[in-house]
Amino acid sequence: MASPTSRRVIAALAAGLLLSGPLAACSSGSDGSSGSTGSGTSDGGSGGEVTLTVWARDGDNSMEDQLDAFEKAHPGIKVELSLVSNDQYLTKFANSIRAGSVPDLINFDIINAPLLATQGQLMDITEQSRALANFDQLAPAGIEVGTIDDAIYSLPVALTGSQMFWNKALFEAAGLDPETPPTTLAEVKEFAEKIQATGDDVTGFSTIGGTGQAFTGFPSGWADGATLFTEPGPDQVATFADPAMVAMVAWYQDMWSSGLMQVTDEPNQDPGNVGSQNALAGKVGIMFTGANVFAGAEDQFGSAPGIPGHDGTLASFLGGNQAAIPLGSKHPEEAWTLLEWLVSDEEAARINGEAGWIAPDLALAQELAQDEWASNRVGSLAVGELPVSIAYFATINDPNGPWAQNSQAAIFQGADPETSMTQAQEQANQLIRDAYSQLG
Amino acid sequence: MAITVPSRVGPPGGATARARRGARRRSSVLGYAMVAPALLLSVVFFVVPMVLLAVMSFYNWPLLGVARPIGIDNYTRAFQDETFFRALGFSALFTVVLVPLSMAVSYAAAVMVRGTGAFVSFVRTAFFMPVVIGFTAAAYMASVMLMSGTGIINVLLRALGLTDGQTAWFTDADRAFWAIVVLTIWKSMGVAMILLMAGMQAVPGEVTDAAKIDGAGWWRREGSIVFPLIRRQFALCLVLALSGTLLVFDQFFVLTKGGPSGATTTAVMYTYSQSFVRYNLGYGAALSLIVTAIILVIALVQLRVLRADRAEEAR
Repeated sequence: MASPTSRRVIAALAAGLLLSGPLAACSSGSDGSSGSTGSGTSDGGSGGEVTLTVWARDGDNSMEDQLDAFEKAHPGIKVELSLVSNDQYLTKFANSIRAGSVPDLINFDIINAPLLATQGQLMDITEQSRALANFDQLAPAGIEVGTIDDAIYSLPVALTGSQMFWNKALFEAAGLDPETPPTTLAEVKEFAEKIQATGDDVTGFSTIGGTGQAFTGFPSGWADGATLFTEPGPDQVATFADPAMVAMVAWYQDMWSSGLMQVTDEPNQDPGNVGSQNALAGKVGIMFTGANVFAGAEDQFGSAPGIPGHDGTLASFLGGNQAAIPLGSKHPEEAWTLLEWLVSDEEAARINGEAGWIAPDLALAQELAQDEWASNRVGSLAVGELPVSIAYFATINDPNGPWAQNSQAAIFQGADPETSMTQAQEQANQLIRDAYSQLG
Repeated sequence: MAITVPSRVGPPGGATARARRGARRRSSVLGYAMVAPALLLSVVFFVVPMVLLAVMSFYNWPLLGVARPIGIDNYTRAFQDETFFRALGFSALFTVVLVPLSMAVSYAAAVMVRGTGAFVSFVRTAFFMPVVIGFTAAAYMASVMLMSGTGIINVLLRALGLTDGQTAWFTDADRAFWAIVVLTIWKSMGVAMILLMAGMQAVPGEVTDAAKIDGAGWWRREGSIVFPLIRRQFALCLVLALSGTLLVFDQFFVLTKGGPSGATTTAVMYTYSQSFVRYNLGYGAALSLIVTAIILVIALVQLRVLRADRAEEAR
């Protein structure tokens, strides 16, 4: 009979064997990329074949198809795609730089372009970019945001803009012409009042979340000539208290207190996206949002190539993705081949269009636009703008940051818009100074 | 004649003492071997990062770019940071409000479920089940249930005639605070309930029976007999509750994002925002260490008090 000691040893060994299985599986599972989806395109580099590693944002629904098409067109190059969650993108990239193993191409949120370029982590692609045949047709704001001190570090690859939409049936029910949208913010309010009067569960206007924030709020200010920041650089200051921006905030305050907006437009009140469901169900008259909300239901809604300000001009918030080659990439030439293909090739542009993005080459995108809906989407990019600052995240995107907190206090709690925006501006300036002092 | 009973099975006769030492050594080697993997995990995933964090706190450490040593600048900045103190104050307020309520609810629940029977079993399971879902999942559930107009809680309140059903719970700091207090109690009272219940079940029945015979009422029995005997479990629950609640993050991050206007920002949320939104990793590290130190002090004080109680009991 085994002694108690040897029984314990046997038990320990058994436990060790049982544990080693899952532990081994844990450690061999990831090679540093989180949320990696099998792109099905890599079978390892072999003899003369180059394998590029590419990172893209989670939810980027065109990259896989584009990379498949690219591989077919370039037999010597294979591409391995990793999808990274948007929140973790910069952190992951920073870690890869510290580990000395950066991907060959990064495809990231356009708003991070200034920060990445300023930090000196991207390859200077000025010469190659300017030599592109279609350079002048690329979205101007996309080029601008990727340029620091006249050097280009990233190019736009897939774009989207914010627009005004309206429900045609509700327009008719309110006695309005569905082909004649409002052209100024005052008209938006007027039309919204008429639409809301038609029924109990109908709302006149909605931004489907993010009220008065970057995507749908800034364009009205830009349309009236406002800016948000001065030129990027250590002397940059915020100009949130620009009268046209204050007027935009005041307009939203008025719309909210007049009861013309959905309850779900209030911050943190719509975890289930009820706001967009209501819009699709025909319960909202006029909406400022992105075209992808209406995918598949385009015939019920009218669209404008932008969002109006107070005097009839349209503007749009340029969103989407930029791509760049990190310094330290092992295959910079092939990476440039890929980047060039992404911004110039017709097949890449077509795939973008099908996935709801807009190709960066606006002339090409306009050519491929099949109908007024697609054409308006492209048109919104021509008036598309983007605030450029390395402290963008902290000043604007952060839900506890100066823009969000102060604009929401004005819009939803009745604070004075001018005082709020002036306060926001001061807080933002401090954050910009902090960000530049980080660079050393 | 003295009978020697060997403490271990082993070779008989004069070799017993040597065998005993050998067996003890084998046993301690075996012990270390079994603890080694957990120890390794602990060192790699806890000790090493803590040391790195401490080092980082003396640097200006941007996300991208070169880290520069700046001595204790991060700490002096923290001690002048009003927003940090406001966040600490809010965490403290939340803790001071939540812990007594939560302990009272857990105690009452333990009283309810310390008996036997199928129904009691069912209730015990029902009270404990929320513990197993994460706080983030619970917070998302709460945000759907508390949605104005359509959330089930609002619908119930409207049906009861208490509100108009349109209450927006998370746009007002006070309403959000109390909603999250209730959510947290619902979610976490199960653990303390089970621990207290186990302690209560260990109270000898004869003692309470004797007290009953002597004419002591329920409250008297509970306060003078049961509670003193479960003081150790109670103290443990208190230590866990205090340190856990001071570190509250998930619920506020999901439901209010620290708003409106930073009114519900907790200490950990502020640290998170400094590190991963503003990318001041060095400053965030310093803030983390300050929060850790505060919790350490509180835990040590609590353990001191516990030891003093045990010394009293021993006397």
